[in-house]
Amino acid sequence: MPAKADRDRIELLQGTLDLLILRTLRLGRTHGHAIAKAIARGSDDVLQVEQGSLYPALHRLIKRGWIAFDDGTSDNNRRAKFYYLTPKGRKQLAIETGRWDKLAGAIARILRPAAQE
Amino acid sequence: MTRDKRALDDVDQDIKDHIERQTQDNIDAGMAPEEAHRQAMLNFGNVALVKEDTRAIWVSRRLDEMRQDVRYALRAMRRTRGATMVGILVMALGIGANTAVFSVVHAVLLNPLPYADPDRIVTLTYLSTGGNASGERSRQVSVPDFLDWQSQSASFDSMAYYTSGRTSVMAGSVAEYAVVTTVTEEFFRVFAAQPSVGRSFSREEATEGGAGAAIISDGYARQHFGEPARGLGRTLRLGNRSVSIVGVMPPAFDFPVATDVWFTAVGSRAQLARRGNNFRAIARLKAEVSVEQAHTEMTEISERLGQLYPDTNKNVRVIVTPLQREIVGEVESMLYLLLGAVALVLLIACATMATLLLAKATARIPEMAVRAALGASRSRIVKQLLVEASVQALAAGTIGVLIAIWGTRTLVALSPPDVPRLDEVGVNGSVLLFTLSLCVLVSFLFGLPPALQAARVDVTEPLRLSTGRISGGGRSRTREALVVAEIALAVVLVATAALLVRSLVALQQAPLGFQPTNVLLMQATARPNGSDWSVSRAFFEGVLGDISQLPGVVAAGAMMGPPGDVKSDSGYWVDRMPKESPLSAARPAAMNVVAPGTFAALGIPIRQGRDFHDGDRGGRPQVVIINEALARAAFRQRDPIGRVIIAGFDSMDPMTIVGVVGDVRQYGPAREPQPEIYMPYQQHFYNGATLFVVVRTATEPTALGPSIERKARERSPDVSVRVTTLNALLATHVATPKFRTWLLSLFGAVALCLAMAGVYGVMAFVAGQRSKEIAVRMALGAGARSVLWLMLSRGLKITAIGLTAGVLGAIASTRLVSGMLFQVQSHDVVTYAGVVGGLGLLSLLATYMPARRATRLDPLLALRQE
Repeated sequence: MPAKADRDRIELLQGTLDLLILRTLRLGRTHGHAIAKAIARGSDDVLQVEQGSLYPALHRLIKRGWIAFDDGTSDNNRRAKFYYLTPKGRKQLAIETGRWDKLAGAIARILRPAAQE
Repeated sequence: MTRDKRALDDVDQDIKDHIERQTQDNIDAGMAPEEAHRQAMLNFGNVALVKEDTRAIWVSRRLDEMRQDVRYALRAMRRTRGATMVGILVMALGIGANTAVFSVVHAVLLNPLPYADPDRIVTLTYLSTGGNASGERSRQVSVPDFLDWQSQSASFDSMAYYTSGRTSVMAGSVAEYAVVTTVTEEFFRVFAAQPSVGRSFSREEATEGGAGAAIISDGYARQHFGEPARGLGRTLRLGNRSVSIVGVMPPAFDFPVATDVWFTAVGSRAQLARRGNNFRAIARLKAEVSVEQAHTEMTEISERLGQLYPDTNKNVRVIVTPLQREIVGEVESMLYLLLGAVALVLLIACATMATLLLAKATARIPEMAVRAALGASRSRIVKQLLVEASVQALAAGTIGVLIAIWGTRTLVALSPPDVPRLDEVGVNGSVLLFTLSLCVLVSFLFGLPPALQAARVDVTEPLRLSTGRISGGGRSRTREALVVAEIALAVVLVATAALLVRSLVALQQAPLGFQPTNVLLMQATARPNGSDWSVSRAFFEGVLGDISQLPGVVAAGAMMGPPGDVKSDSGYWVDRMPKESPLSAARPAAMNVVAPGTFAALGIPIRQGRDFHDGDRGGRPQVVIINEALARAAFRQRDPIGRVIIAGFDSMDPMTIVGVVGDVRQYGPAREPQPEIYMPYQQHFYNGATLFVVVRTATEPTALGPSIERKARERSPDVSVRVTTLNALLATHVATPKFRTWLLSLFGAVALCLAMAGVYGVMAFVAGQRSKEIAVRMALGAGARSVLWLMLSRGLKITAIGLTAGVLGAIASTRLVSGMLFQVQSHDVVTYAGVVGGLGLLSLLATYMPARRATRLDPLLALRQE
């Protein structure tokens, strides 16, 4: 796990964790630890998810109806909650992604105005 | 949602699983197992915090804390079950009584009237502005004035006048009394009300000389025709007229109160005199006109009329009053008195609870200290104690509502007949909201003092001294202040109640001037045949003859207005009528029409001259009997017999005085006897062709009721009759004073008990707290007497301060009830001395009992208790 030096890691922006969870779940249903691992690995360990903060986020998404869960047994025969996207969550993911692209683009334009010229 | 919330169930399990997986990953990455677990935990963060954050997604944290406090509170209440139950019951009584009184206040005073835009409905009344009747309001108006107002004003959408009374109506074969309201065309439009069945009056029915028509109430229709629709088209006989029923009003429409039949006024309006003030006026304001604007306009109009008709309208202004205020009238002050009294009771109950809780809080000082030591903040401790108080208050409120449901019914059943809208009284949404806010208020009132005190606890001190022996200081001062407040409030309530009791006693002992016991009254209406009154006179003469033959009848007579129920008054002149002076300038007297034998039946003494006899009839010289008050006012020392009197009752003919009778309180027991003129029934007309037959019986009068009623029915089925007793009629005059006196006495008694319980509680607590000190003193040789005095002096000091504050408060507040007092001043010294003496004695007793117990303790036992 300690593959990168601490100073290279970036704390997550407020609200982006939700987006990342939704994106991860688009690939299929999975349990909490796998989600955290997927986010870390997907960002080449740049994004640091304090794994604990995953749980309030998951519950927030459940409450909004964007994801749901099943009780299941995982590979090594352990009981775990398996989270998956709901149709509502799939729609929300599209909206959030669009919004993120706009935001990122806008910030990029401000930070690098030269690129436009 | 509930399914989703299930996600919370295994959060522990989920987190544990997560950490195990991470540990496994770390091991796979080559860490030693222990280090792997440590790193996994580190990466996860604070498990407890994560759990709490996750929980907070679903459950608000504040709510969570609250739930915890409530759990603690319930546990604490279970620990002290007895004291808690007593406290809750006391509060429940207080809240219940307040809720019951408020539900009456709400329905009668606060709830808008059940009509469309009720605040636009107003009454028009006179106000005399000059002369000796200055400031006197008169609700009865004359038709010519009304017609002028109607034609000259622009403030109103619709205007109507009406008069209401119990008269004889035939719906079937037998005449009965019904409340008939004679109205003008726009009456129902003022209320924007429509019949539920049938239609409103047509213009033709309501105009002068028209056919006339009747609209009946839902209750009357059901009583006489089975169901409302079957009443349509039926005929009612009202006096000599037959009118058909064209509509039935919905049950909610009840104005004026208890009306059975609304009947269109069809008499000739031109003949009505400008001084014939026999009607009440109501109107609906136009949407854009305020009460003040209407008032200004009516003032201008009435000033104009004053110049045009100085005889009758000079110095008479018109007031515009919202109907709701008018209906409520004098009941308002009584209801607010009751609400104030019952609120005081609740305050005292709160103070008692606070002292109880303070004692409990002292016992819990070690517990609070432990909490504070473990890091609970002051505000958290205060909050927890307040939650405890609220839980008790809410429990009390729940029981209180049950008490209120019962109490409201009792209040309505006992209340005097002049309280309007009682059928609307009930425990409804607004009342429950009131109760809830009361609970919150109350929990702060009695919960805050002990809570603040607990928060002041010094963490170390009570823990060091495990026995918690800290006497004196701020704690006991709070408690004593509360007891002082209790005593003071109790004095205010008890003094008010005592004043009202003394008034009521005085009212019931007021010399009436007649003997009301064993007198039966039979109201009877015998309609004349057109203008021929011989039918009515013959009926009463015959019935009086029949009745006096009955066994058990001592004397019988008949009169227009029995004592306490004057039907008419008018000005009078002695000897001759002055040419210039108007009738309104003459001295006033009550006017009555009586049959021979009436004075004997009532027990009114004949001071001079004679009673009427059968020879005083039409065609014979006009004679009259006056009372002593009139003899004093008009003749001073001279002999009135044989002098002539002229009164504007039904004619201006001179009448010769043949007798003088004793005074009676003809306007009810609260008012001194006024001048009165009695005229023989065979020579005059009487109001609505109605007389009250007065029968003095040898024994219980009600036993004779049925046979007297039968005698009347045998004479004529067209005559409606109603039998009651003179005592029952008089009771209506004291009904209101009796009601408020009873309630206030009840509240005063409760306040007294609560205050004494407070004194006793505090003294018992102090005695218990100081038992060791007392034991030491006694072991060292102090006498029982000096120890007793030590204890007593403290209680006496509290009592003295409380009584002083109470008397000052009572002097200030009883001024508010001075209008309800009869022959007693609001600062009556005897009453105050009695209240102070009584309360002082009781308080002394409440102090003495625990003090004496303290001196009887075995010193050794008390010291060994440790």
